[in-house]
Amino acid sequence: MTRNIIAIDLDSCIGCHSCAVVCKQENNVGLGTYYNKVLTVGPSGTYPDLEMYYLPVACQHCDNPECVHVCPTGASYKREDGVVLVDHSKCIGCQYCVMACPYGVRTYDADKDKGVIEKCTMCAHLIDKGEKPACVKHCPGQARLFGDADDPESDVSKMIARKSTHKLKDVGNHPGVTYGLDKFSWKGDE
Amino acid sequence: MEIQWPLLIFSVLLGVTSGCFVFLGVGELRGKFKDVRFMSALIAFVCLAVGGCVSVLHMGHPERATHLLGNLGSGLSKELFTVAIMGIVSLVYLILAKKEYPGASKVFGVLGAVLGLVLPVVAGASYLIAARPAWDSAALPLMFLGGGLAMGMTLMAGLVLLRGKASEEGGFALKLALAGVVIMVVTSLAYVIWIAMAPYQAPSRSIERLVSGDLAVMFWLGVVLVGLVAPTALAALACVKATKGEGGTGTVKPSTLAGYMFAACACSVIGAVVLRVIMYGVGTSVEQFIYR
Repeated sequence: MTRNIIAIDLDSCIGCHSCAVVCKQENNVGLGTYYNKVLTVGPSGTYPDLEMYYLPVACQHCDNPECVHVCPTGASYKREDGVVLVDHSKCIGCQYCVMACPYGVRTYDADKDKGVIEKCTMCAHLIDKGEKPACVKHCPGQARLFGDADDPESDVSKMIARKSTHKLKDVGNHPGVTYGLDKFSWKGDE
Repeated sequence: MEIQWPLLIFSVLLGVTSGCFVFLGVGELRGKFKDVRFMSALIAFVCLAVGGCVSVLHMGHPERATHLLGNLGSGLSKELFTVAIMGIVSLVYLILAKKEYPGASKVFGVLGAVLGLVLPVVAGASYLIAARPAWDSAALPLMFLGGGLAMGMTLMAGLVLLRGKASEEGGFALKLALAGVVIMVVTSLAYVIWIAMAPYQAPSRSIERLVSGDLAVMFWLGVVLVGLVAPTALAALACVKATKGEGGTGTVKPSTLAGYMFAACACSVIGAVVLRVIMYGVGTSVEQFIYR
């Protein structure tokens, strides 16, 4: 069975924010709203042994998404290919999923025409056409990878096989996005 | 997280309903409070109805409420169904309170009391989310229950002293109110202890914020002094004054004792509101990468 994930090689990420910009363009994300953001971790350590890396964050498309479990209407759902989406026609805007997300990557769009929850869709409209998510397609450092985690020949599986991999803090949700980081020490557990 | 006022008001009013019905249910079992049960049930029903209406303001699309059947396992769905059942039971009890059907009144009174114990727990359980460590404990729904018992029972005791058979039933009503207040104190403190020991500690949800940080004034003044100490003192004082004097008939008029109870109720409401404000304040997610 296909289990689509995004894997990010943090050693290759140059912190250019292209992924955040192209995400806004592709998904028509409004001012002040983000599906995807690039954070700076560090600098940490003592001179001259300083460390710093960039951490792109978005919906983790968790294996066991609490946002889906708590959604009273079934608007938040997980597709068979692993993508977590929100069906806006069912969303009542109760924001329960926002509370249930451990990473603060969902937001309530209070716009009177919307009144629903917004988040990264892994560009489901593109992957359904056989394309890659916009953030992956346009990453200049090719740090962002997309593919089936259960296929050993996929880009994501190859990166996972060759690098030290990390995930965001797991409170039982089992985040799907996998970060590769060899050059610096992972600070995500602190 | 930001204070969700509609949900906060809903949980406080729902607590009042809960406390009222537990009080009435105990009264039904003991054959007491018949003179005030209609007004009491009316207050409980109105609180539930107003709270339910206010909670709808939290939603972006309440007109899509039919989709609420989409995931019956969700905490919010369970809360909705419990509120609906409570609404039906309280309405039936309200009608029965106007008539003379002792058996039926007792059944629905006790049913209302059981639901009164369940309702705040179900509402509080909606907040048991691993992503918000300061909420993820049974102490939170119990805090909702304790606050509800204090608010509802002090209100009902005041009503009995003012409109009921104060000389015969006032003492028992005051004891119930005191019990509700004591449960509130214990459960509120248990929740504060949970905040101190919750996993994934971070400055945004630390106990230091309550003890000496930006939430300290709200905590010490609003929760401890007004919300816990004042109702306890008022309820205890009322109990003492009601049993002193010649022949244990009390040293003050029932209406004065009713004033003590209403003041204790008001203080409990303030404490419940402030504690929930703090609850939202420390209810930050494990990580807050994009939104807070």
